Amino acid sequence: MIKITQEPIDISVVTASVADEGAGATVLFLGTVRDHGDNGSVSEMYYEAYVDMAQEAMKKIEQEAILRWNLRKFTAIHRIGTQKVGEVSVAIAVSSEHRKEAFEACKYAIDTLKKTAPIWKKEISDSSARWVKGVKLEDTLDGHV
Amino acid sequence: MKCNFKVKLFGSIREAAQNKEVTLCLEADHPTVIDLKASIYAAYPKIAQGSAFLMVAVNRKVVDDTTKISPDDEIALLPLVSGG
Repeated sequence: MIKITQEPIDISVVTASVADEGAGATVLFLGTVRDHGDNGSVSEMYYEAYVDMAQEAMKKIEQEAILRWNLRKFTAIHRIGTQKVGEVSVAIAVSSEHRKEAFEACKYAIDTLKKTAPIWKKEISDSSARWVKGVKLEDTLDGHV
Repeated sequence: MKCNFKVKLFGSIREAAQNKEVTLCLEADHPTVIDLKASIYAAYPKIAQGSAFLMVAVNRKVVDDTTKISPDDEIALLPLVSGG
């Protein structure tokens, strides 16, 4: 399942979405809003996405991860809009027969998402707001591990 | 000259232009991404300041400067990405 949403991410729903009787391992990655950045304290993070293109990039990651690690199920959800410190901005869950595949696939998915999904974030503090310095967008399959 | 090239803007670029989408005129008969960039940088000098880091997507694929564009294409200007 792939989703970009304004709504808070419900972790129990994410985990349940990859439940599979053939799976012996489930790995869940959560990206959360940190209370500090390169320029000091952070109170909120604002996320913006080119939604259609980001969803296509996430779909490619899903297909590649399922194929390469023979996953049972895959879910990636990215939240956009303004989020407070501690809130979950991105969640990726994968299930597979054994843990090695699940760990590797989950790492591949978040690493690749950060390089291939057109999403931007802005750190907001009491006194300032600045866009986080990012990386050049890559085509999805250049992110091979 | 065609004046119906729509370009989506995001993040810092959207803020610099104070607009989510801009419409541009391009003079070339068969315009490319380089013509689009020249036009948008002339109209929005603030965007030109960070231009070394900008990518262009046409129909949701990253393209290079030589790619031909038409008013029917979905065109977007993308600053460095920082999702996650």
